[in-house]
Amino acid sequence: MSARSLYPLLAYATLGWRRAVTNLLDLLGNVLLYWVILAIFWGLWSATPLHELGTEFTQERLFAYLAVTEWIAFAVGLPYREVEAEIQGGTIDMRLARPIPFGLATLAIWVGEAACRSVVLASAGVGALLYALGTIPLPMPSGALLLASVALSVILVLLWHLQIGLVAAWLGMSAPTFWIWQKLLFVFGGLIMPLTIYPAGFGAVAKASPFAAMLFAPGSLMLQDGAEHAAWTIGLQLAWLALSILCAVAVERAAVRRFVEHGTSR
Amino acid sequence: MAAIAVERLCKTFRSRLRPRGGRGRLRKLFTRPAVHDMPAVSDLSFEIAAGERVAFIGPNGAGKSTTLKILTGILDPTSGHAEVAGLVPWQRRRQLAMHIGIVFGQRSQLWYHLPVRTSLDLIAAVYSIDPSTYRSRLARLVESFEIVDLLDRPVSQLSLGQRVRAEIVAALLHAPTILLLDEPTIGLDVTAKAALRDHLNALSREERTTVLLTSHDTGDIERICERVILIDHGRLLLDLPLERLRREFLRTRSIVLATDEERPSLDIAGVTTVATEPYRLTLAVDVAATPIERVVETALARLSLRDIVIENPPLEAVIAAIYRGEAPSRVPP
Amino acid sequence: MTPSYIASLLRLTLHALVARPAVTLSAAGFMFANNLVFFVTWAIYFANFSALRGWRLEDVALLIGMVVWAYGVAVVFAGGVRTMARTIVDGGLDVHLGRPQHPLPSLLFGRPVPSGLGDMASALPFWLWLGGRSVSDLPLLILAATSAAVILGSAVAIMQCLVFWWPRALGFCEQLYEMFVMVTYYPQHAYGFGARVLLLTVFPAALIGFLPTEAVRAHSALLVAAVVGAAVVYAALALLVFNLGLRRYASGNRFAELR
Repeated sequence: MSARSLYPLLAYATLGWRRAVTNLLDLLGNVLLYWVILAIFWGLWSATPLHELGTEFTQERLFAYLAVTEWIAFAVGLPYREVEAEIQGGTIDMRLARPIPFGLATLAIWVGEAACRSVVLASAGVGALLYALGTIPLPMPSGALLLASVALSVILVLLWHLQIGLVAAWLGMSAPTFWIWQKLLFVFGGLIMPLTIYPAGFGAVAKASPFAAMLFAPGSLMLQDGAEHAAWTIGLQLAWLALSILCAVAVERAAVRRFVEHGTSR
Repeated sequence: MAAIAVERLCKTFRSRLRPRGGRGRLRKLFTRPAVHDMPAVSDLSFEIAAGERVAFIGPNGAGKSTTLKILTGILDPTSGHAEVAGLVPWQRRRQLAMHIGIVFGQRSQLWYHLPVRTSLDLIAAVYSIDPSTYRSRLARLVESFEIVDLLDRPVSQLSLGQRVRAEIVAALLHAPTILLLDEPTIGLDVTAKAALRDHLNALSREERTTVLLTSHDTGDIERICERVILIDHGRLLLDLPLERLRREFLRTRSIVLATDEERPSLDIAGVTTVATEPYRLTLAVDVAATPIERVVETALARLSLRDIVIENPPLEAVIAAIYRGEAPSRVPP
Repeated sequence: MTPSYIASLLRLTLHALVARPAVTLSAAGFMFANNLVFFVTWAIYFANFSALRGWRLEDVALLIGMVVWAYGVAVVFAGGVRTMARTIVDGGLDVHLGRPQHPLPSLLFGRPVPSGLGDMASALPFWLWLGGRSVSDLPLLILAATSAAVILGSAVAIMQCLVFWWPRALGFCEQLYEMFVMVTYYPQHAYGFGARVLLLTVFPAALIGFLPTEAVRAHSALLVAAVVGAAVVYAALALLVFNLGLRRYASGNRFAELR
């Protein structure tokens, strides 16, 4: 891919960033929701007999883990709805008749938007950690790996949002598929609790799923020290990213095939 | 080489039949539904030369939008062949995008909550327009379509007429040689329609852009186009120069006069009284025999007028006239 | 607001649900599965911990059953409440105001969310299977959970009415709604005193989850009466707030502040 061909994608990403800035009020609502969730679980973890789990997991570490997983969930938002609405309203016509592939353009916008949201939510997360814990319990040698891991997670989740949005090409709507996928992400990805405290068999299945690379992997960087663990985490995410890109390309092509054969307006 | 060439184009949509009644619907869940083939475009052929401005008209469901979608490459035909700017649309959709500009009536390509300029910047990047070309092109288009003051306003704050003008600027930004417009004036008021027609007309003449326009409004056709292709049920019904359509089917205007007289009447040669109501007179004017100006002058002289409305015959009336066999079914352009 | 008008609106709601049975059934099925997956998180939690301030897994199941029933009833029979703020801001009230009836019923009814049926259906296995309750508890469960539905619908309506006074807060109102529904799903007794007071009053998530669950757990007539009473109070409050807001709408705030 030449630098020139990246220029339109950069323009799409810039538009996504601007869109997030324009919807600042919504973003602030998200920050509020993020804080409410953190508050809920601060309360839940403080009411939980954590000593039954051993000394490895403290309220502080579980809280920091949640701050990272929820950060990713909120940074992404619900962009699948945009593709679903475009398919349902037939406005996808305009996007198909462009020289840039629909999926790539959509992802570029979402990445720009998620980047802006990530920055705001990161500030909110840091604020919450400082307020609750008085410090940022980052056991890593540097936060850069955490940032890289979160960025990979966001792109990974966005790739799945694209595919879920495109499900509307066949089913007419994406929402039911999304709600199931989202709950699988929450459970198998370990949104609330790290997969390491799951029952053995269940935990193994969850860790082998792509969902683990989306939430648990970056979250685990708040729980486990060491460069080896960090390398394993990023490696796992890159592998799932490659596979998810292949899936997304296949689904996008199939959806576009369907549009050009059957039309877009319902 | 023709800008657009369509040969024996067909598109058939397959839909599932919806069973009636609760029991039928329940059964539908467990059985394979019956299908129904619906031809949207049937054996359609035409050619449009570079720089021609053609109206592509027909009643609702005639297959206009389907044809336009096929020509943009976002819909595959069932059979037949087409070339737009020398490319087969459904094989070279992305390359074709560089040559065509599209406006789908009520489907926006602008980002609703962002300023118009942001969307235009993005489109310039998408079409790889270099910055200096973009600046000069934008300057020319915003002046032509009078949207200078709108550039920094969010699309959500524009009126429909302003938005459509901005949409057309967006569609013309990459200087397409072919412009496909699907119902561009739908929903606009009379003034906005007139302004848009004038802008489009001037620009397409100046730049020799090929225009293919679908519309329900005979006014759009008369102001912008020089040739008319009429389709119905996906089939070509008529293909003739506008002049001939005007002579044969658009020669009648309807004039409604609101008067101070309780029982108004007006006798002029070539003018038929359609309806007389208290304080209101509706006339049909054969403009080939009697110019509109003469009717208006006479009305002003003989009656005390409170209001006057001049209307084009609706497209449906034109089509009905064609169906009644009041003209030959096909005339070569 | 005559009974026959309400009845015809409810009939319309039911017709809307059966008009597309495949959509209704699949949406309901998806939501049922959705709720079960959510429950798995709690199963994992209680696989690690013995109790949460005295609550065990079956108590959480009881609470989830209570909330999904309340949410299901609210969105099936008052589906319009979810999009009320948007309707108000978009000027959609005009249609309802043009009728010779109070606009609230037609605004709420007639836009049922099919997946709500799945939520309602989910409540039964949550109560009877996962929550370990017997069939004889059902009348009490349904009474408490339906009252919770009224509280939920009313509280959401009050939140959405904020746009009458603050039209630009549309996104905020929608987020507040999501936030509220989310908080109802978590056991509200685990928090400190201040948070619990908040959750029992201005942000009444505990009136929808915790209080009805406690009423059934304790078989307490007093607590059941408290839930029913809260439902009446919240419904009256919602009607009052809507009527007050309506005066501002009639005074044309939409045009003054949005344009």
